Amino acid sequence: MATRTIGQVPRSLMSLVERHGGSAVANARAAAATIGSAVAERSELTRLLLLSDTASVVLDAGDLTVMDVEECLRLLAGNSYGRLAYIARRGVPDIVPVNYVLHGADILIRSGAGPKLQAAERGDLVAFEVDQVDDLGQLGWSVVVHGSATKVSWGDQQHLASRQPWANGPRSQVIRILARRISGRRLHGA
Amino acid sequence: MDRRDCLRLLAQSNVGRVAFSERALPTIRPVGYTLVGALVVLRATPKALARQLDGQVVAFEVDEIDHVHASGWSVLVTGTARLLQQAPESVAITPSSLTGRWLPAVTSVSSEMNRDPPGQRRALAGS
Repeated sequence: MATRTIGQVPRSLMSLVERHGGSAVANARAAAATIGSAVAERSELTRLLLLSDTASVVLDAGDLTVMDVEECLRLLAGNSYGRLAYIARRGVPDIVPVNYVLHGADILIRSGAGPKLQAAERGDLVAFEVDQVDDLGQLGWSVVVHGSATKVSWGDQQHLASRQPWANGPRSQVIRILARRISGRRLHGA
Repeated sequence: MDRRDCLRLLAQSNVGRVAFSERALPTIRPVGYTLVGALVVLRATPKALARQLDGQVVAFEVDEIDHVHASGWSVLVTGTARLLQQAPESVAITPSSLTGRWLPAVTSVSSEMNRDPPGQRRALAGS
């Protein structure tokens, strides 16, 4: 039990533990007490953690409202910049900032060759997020689209290009996220 | 972008996005953070999320786009998230990889569509 708890302390924190607690950190209580003394000594780590608490970046801490799909779509339509999360390799997620166009309830993203296009070619499930959060993270909103990514065929691209205010060169690729679920939350702050 | 640039930029901001698996599906949400050395500490996450992240390999991304000056950057941290026993509702990510890139001048979808293939992130050895 004690070993497990200590094991969950990141390695970089362990050096802090050792510095303040010596070599005899034998159990979780000792580890916690050692960290506690580090707090008292205003170590860099705890100072920053306390500072961060003071800044109170409160996301998902209860002060939020679930938005309906209509509002989510309105926010998606009113923005053009988001982040795509997908599984790049062997279960390791990747996040890339992208520009996008909302097409119905689907998200269109321009892509060059690369891992995110490969994910689309596999038809992977992905998440796409658009948000506006203030510097303290207290006010704002976040909309997430879950769905499968597909590579848009050239024929479809021409079709889409005729309906959208952007032109595609012959080498550009477009990823379409077929939205299965759209969810949004509004943050109200403290 | 080298490792020092990545860390310098991470230190400038305090809100990023974390991507992780939820019921075997990728999802992403904004979260506040503090950079402590090379450790990314996600702050004030609800306990349920913090527990969910514990032990997971996650991606954490911070970016900044200046639409006026048409410039920006994006830094990606990949690593295993660990619940901080000492700081409830905080999760630490020890970077196993830290990559960053300067984003090209992108102010509209049309310019995005017309530009050359995006610059590749350059992977750097992590800690």
